[in-house]
Amino acid sequence: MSVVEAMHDAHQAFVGWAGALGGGLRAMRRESTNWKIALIDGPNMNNLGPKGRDQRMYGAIPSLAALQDGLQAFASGLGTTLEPYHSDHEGDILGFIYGARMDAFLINPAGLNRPGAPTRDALRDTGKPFVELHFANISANRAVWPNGTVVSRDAAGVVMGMREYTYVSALFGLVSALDAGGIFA
Amino acid sequence: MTTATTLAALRKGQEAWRIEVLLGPNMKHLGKRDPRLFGAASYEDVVAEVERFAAALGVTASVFASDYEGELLQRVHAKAATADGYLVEPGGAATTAQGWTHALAETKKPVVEVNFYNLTARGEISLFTPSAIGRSMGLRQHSLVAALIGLVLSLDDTTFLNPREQSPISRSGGAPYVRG
Repeated sequence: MSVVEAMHDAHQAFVGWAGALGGGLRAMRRESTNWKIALIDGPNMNNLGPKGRDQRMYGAIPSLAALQDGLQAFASGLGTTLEPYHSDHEGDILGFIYGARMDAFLINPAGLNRPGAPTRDALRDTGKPFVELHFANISANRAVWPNGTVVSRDAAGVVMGMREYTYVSALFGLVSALDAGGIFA
Repeated sequence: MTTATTLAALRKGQEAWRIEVLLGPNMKHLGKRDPRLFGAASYEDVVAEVERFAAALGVTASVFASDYEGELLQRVHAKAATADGYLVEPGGAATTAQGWTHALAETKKPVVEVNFYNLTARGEISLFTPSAIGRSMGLRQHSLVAALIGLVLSLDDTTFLNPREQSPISRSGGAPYVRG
């Protein structure tokens, strides 16, 4: 099997698994509202994959497209709607946030962990809750991130360290919190 | 087929992971705490919610809560041989613990730190984070349920936390990866 075929199979497998899991978790929800949630991946996240980012940190996920398609399938299974977005340019991300009509946001700031104050401000000004995500535990290295990123202080929540399952976990947690109502008041 | 059976069957693995859920000082008084940070759910509500998801996922989640750090670290030692992973809400011990964090690190099992509120937003630096594989915070009891799901899926993955099979990118020893 060629590398391209293996990547394709891994992509399809992740999407199939995530969609089915979302369907299984749907029955565990307390409400059935079709929440609209954006998933923003910041600079460098398009470099996910075996020939890209360090797999000891990012794991075996084959590509950003696989991650986005998988999370979209998971959201769909849950009975919600996910709109994925990626850019290497912060200005584009600001434009996306201001144009989005969402109930909540998930964001992996990635290359904006330190310089992302404009992104944080834009998210805060939407008045909608957002949850910050990271594949790895960025605070494991105290010297670099002693107390979160520039985004963390305005986030409703932060989920990190469980590679691609961080995204699955955070999306379910966010949907459960939205279902519960009032948590973000 | 029941819902529970269906959800468990959708996991990548079928092992009935034994998850120890540890709740630190003040957490067993949930329901009487500041509702802006902790919500209105009682301790019993939260335990029931964790058990509902554990049963559906086909794993065991044993909840232990104490106001005494010594009891919490004793619980870690008592379960070290059988636990597959820990979910830890340090409660008031987040910024003060030492023995408890050392006990967890010595198990060589993955720990996901859970915080009902966003500690970072309040300038609190947790002593549990550096040795945890991951963290889930800010969504009250939903952070705990989300962490349970994330930990189970991560344990199922033989390239990540699964203890039965190693890969060059595995982190089955529970230590977080730190970029050199």
